Amino acid sequence: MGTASGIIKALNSGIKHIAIKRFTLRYPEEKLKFVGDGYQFDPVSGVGVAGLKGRHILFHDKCTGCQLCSIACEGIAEAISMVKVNEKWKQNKKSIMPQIDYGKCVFCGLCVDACPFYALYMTNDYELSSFSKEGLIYTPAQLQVKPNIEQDAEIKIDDRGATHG
Amino acid sequence: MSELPPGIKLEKEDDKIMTLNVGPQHPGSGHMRIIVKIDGDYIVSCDPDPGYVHRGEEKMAEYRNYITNIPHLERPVIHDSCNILYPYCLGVEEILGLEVPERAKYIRVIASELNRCVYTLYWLAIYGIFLGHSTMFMWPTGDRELLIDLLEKLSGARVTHAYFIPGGVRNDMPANFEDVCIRQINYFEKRIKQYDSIFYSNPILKSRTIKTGVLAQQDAISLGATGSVLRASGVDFDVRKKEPYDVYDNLDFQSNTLKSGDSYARSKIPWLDMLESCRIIRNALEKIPKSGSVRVKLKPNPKAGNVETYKRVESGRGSLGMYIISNGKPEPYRVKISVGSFRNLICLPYLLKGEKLGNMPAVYWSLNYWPVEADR
Amino acid sequence: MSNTQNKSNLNGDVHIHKNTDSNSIDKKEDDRPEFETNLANTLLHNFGEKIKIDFIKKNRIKVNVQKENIVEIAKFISLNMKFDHAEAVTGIDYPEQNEIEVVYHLGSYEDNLSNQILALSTSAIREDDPTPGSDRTKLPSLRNVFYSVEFHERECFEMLGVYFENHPDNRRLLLPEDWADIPPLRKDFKIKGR
Repeated sequence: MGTASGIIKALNSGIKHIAIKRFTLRYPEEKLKFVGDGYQFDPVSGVGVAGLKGRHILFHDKCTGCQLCSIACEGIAEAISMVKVNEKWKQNKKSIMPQIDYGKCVFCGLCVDACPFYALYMTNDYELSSFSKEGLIYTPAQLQVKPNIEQDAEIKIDDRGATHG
Repeated sequence: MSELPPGIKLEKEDDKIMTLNVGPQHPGSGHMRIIVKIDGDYIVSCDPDPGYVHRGEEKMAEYRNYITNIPHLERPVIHDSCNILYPYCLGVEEILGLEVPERAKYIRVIASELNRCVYTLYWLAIYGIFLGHSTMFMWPTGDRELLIDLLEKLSGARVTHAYFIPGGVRNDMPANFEDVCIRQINYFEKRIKQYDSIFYSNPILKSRTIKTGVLAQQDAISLGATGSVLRASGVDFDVRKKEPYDVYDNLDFQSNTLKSGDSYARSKIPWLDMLESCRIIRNALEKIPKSGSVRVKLKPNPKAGNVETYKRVESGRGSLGMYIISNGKPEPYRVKISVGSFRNLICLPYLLKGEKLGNMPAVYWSLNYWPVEADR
Repeated sequence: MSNTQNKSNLNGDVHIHKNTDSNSIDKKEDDRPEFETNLANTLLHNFGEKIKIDFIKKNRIKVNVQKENIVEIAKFISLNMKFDHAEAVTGIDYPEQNEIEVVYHLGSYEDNLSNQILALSTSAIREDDPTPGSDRTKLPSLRNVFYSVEFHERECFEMLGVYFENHPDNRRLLLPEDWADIPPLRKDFKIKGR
């Protein structure tokens, strides 16, 4: 192929893009929608449920303080430590629950796989930035809160290209 | 003449030869230093100096058990994390004697092919910007989003998936993933076909890459090159074809080879592979069993006997092998990661000799080299 | 001694039987893949007692040789058996046996051999107090036989302190120039905090 026709071909392909819609996600205004409510794990079947591996959610009424999540994290990120809580639960005699340092967490979700009591899941919340390192340490009380998220942008494909609609 | 500081010596005979350090923080080298000696505009010799991002993954693997090794072993190539975990999982499954469910094998193939495309697009984007073709930086970076979105739906993370596990995959495909996948893969295939007109048949790109850094077939074999570098030199070697793992022997695809062995061929092979990946994914989605288990249950601290295994897969950068030795403890005794980047690095001094300095980025990045992976 | 060696040279099958029986992984005669056994027999026919077969599995053979014979055997593997490149060179530290094992994973791009990996292993003496390059931990380099091992052997030198004689470029590769500790992949090098 000659030089001229090569350049014409490239220009032609570029010009076609004038008519194509913009694919950019306008992030703080639009947020991507994820499947499900975050990564979960079913210890009976031993298989996870697909979802985003974001911030954790801890169910205080199910946590027994068995430390399995903390042990699982020991070889990975050492982000989970067990702390004392001022709550009385029948299943949690020692009153200890996980506290997660998101400055260390790598969001692999193997702690969720380790929990045999359906107490620790992950959520769709990924906006965890903080002004201090202490702000990244989430106490059991903070982990209990269900995140309030509005994520609705999805990839749409039509004749004029793909967009985040 | 005053005394020179230690470590610096003047080359009296050849004063016109200049030593130039490219890197380790130069955008033209990634996290690697390339020490080139140049005579005018021509490279006399080249000495790659990797190791700037060495993290001791092999040493770390000796201290963690077979499951907790997973998140850190994917760190060398976060863009291709499924493929670097693949040989590890195959190896651990062999020494633990696990039988992977059929559906998990297909999901693994789909995830690994998606991840290969994600890596290749990132690599191609940087190749574009190295050659001053900024459209080629923007397009693949945008199209990558289509596949990252799919992997995010599948595994729950955008780059470091930690999705493969010895005995299968972490979770099943979400509901109606097949439809979304087919739709986005079809659109993606349409998109990357346009790269041919804007990039691969672009006369400026052709004049910069054709006949630069030619690697002859015999040299490619004796240097032990792998992946796209090898196949661009006319050797038909693809681990997926030659030693099929999981379900690759059931799938319909071909391995691409080109004859010329120059930078142009080396940059085109990954693009042809991406088109092939789209075929594999569609084929796998047709053949996948509609239901079934995706993971076998593991004991908390699995132990293997006194065994060793060497498994390899085809990653985005060529054959990727893991040599796992177990001595009966929950931790592996030794894990050796043999990566394509490290094996292809030896071609660099060979290819750059006698080349113009301006051609260095075109030759260097066409080797499909990922500095972080080579350093491990 | 020469008599017995002659015998095993002539009758390689007997030899291989004995070796696999002593292996920890018990393989029955029928389980052993045919193609790989033939490959191993080729080596046994030519080198007899210089070679010890560790295992024969599907697509994988591992042979153990003494360091004095490794260059000769590697030359034979490269010229007569068409294994043309090295995939990996792995050093493994065994402090109890006082040795460092070095395994060469050799592959081939020939069509009929491309799924095979031949692991060629040898071992060097391990020093408790290593001074890399000037102690007894030395092996002959295979760089003149397999060009592709050049960087792999350099990595093995810095990571385990195995000096490869006749290697043209015995420098550090991945570690920094000012690394002053013992080679890091030795078992007595401990990671902080573990």
